[in-house]
Amino acid sequence: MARPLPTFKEHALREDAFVEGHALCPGCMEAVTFHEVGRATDNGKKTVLTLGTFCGEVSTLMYPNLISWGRGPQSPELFGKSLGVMHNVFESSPTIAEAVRDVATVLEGVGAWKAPSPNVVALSGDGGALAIGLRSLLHTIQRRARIAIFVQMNEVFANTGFQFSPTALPFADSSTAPGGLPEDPIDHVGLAIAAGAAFVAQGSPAFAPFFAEVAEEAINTSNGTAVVFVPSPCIAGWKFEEGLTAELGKLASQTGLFPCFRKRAGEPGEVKHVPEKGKRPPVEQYLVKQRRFEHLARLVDGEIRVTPGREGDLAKLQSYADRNVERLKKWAAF
Amino acid sequence: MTIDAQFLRQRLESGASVDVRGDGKAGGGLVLVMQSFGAALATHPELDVQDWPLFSSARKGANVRAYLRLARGEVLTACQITSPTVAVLMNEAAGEEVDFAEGTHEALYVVNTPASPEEAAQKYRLGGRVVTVSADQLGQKYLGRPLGNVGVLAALVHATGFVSPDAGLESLLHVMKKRRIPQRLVDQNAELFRAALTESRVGDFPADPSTDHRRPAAHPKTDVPAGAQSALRTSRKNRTSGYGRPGVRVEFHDETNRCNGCSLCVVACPEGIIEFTPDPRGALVTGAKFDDFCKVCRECIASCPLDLFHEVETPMRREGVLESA
Ligand SMILES: Cc1ncc(C[n+]2csc(CCOP(=O)(O)OP(=O)(O)O)c2C)c(N)n1
Ligand code: SF4
Ligand code: SF4
Ligand code: SF4
Repeated sequence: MARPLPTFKEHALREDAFVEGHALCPGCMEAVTFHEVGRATDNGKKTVLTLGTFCGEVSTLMYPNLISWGRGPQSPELFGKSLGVMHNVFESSPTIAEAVRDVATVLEGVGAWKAPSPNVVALSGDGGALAIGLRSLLHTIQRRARIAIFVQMNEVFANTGFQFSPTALPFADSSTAPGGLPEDPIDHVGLAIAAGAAFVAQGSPAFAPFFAEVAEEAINTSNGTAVVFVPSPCIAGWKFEEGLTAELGKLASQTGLFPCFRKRAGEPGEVKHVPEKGKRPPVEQYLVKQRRFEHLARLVDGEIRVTPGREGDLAKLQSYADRNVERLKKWAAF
Repeated sequence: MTIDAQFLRQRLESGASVDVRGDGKAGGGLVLVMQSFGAALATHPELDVQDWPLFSSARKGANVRAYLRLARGEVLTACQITSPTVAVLMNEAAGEEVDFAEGTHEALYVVNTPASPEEAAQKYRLGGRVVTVSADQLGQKYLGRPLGNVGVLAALVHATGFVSPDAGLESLLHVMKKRRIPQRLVDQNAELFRAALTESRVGDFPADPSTDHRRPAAHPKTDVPAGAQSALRTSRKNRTSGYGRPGVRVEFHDETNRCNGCSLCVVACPEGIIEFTPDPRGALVTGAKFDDFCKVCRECIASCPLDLFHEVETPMRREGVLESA
């Protein structure tokens, strides 16, 4: 008997709900994520997506021209292929998703909805979810809303001009925090777990098998909120060359800055794709590929050159990476 | 009629406004050009300047357009410029997707191209004065990167003659400092600016029916034009391959059917345009919708373990330009 395909290959063969023609930057990781969400939700259930305002919204829903969502014309029997998209202000995607779920539950309760219970998926930027929208995100999680949220972590408010976001790594340059801030970013994974999420994960689509499993698990979580943080290299805001999106996605995990992580409430979780301390690539390897860290270190003739006087700041970033891995291990055991 | 600095000055003196419109690609430098030009003009005691870019949510490689109006007294009109007095083409790749001369018949055109004014006039069907500057090449020479913004600014300052080149340079330096650009780069840009003043080339060409880029008047009730932003984003082709870097494209070659169905490129492509046949091994790749949608992001190249995708050089597609709008 043929062996089953790994999840990501099986997803790759499904019908996508995010289609070409969108206006996201070349190599934008948000786009890669949306394709995976599009494929993973082709599972026989109707899908409702809710989007706040962020790059992924304004560049994919541009009335009257480019609407990049949908699985094309389908006959009514294929209700499970259908897709609803609701978009609203910035911080609203978890709240609107929660409302969609409530309506679906009522319709199911009175017998008006006979089809399988829909996939309800919220998409948001990290600014939308973790800066201005933090309170709505946490309350949605705390109410155990049965939705999945994918948060695109590009560490800036990209859509409005690369302003500082509280998820930014120390010393990452942004338009409103030139040269970055020395403080550690907020512990987004910890916040979601502490608020009571049923499933919390962090993962880059660059680790295709891991990410597909996480997406599948998030979309099928039925006992509360599933939150997936997706580190999203942003070519325009981070200023890197073409062809590095996936590589940066991988390095973000391997250096310990954004390790792959997954945890189901009440069960031990796992921290993945980050080698043990000592075997980890140093953070410089990640930083020198992005001009948002140019003031700390840059590549000169293939060699890493640390800016004189910034060695201490670099050590601080390295220390954050190492502490971050240890903290995630603690959350995994929580 | 020669569309030179004197013509523009007389136009202002007659009470009319001079309307400047620029077309380019997001990330291509147009915004810096217009900001610095506006800042330089604003130092002029008698001129009122209004400038605003039309790019609110433009992503890297998307078409952007910027407007600048100037007049004696106050500029009171506030809407997009549909028939510019001065039209700037910042990136030729944008010229493939939109008609940068739209709404003109005889005007001052500033084009960032290694081509001569004659060649540019022919390629874009231009009547009036055509100024060309190989600003990308200058950028390559002075900055090590093909950045055309400062070269185009110099050509624009020079060709319009509203302010002296020195005043133009000064406001450029001011804008660069405000943007926290390191001093080393600021100095290199100042050198580039001076070089571009002498290297821009000028040609005057008669206006005739072939140089007419004006549109027939829209019927106010039945013709609802696309919004300015939508028209720009979708361009003539309504395709997104124009977001890619100019002069290169990606190809897929697998004559001996080596693709093993690992599916990595399928899930890595941000555009979702990889074409395949389903197979027990996974997705067997047959190609991709490169022509219409590939943004040359190189993620497929980076992901394929068998090196089946390649970036290749391609001449600029001229046919898109010559086709009338
Ligand atoms: C209530 C509200 N406040 C502010 C805005 C303006 N706004 C639109 S997008 C955005 C930033 C989005 O940043 P993020 O969520 O990080 O997503 P990204 O653009 O980085 O993908 C802001 C501030 C808005 N649309 N609605
Ligand atoms: S600005 Fe960044 S997040 Fe926004 S589309 Fe571009 S790469 Fe993606
Ligand atoms: S370069 Fe490759 S991955 Fe990028 S858009 Fe083109 S086909 Fe897709
Ligand atoms: S990455 Fe290469 S080998 Fe793998 S499916 Fe794509 S074309 Fe085939």
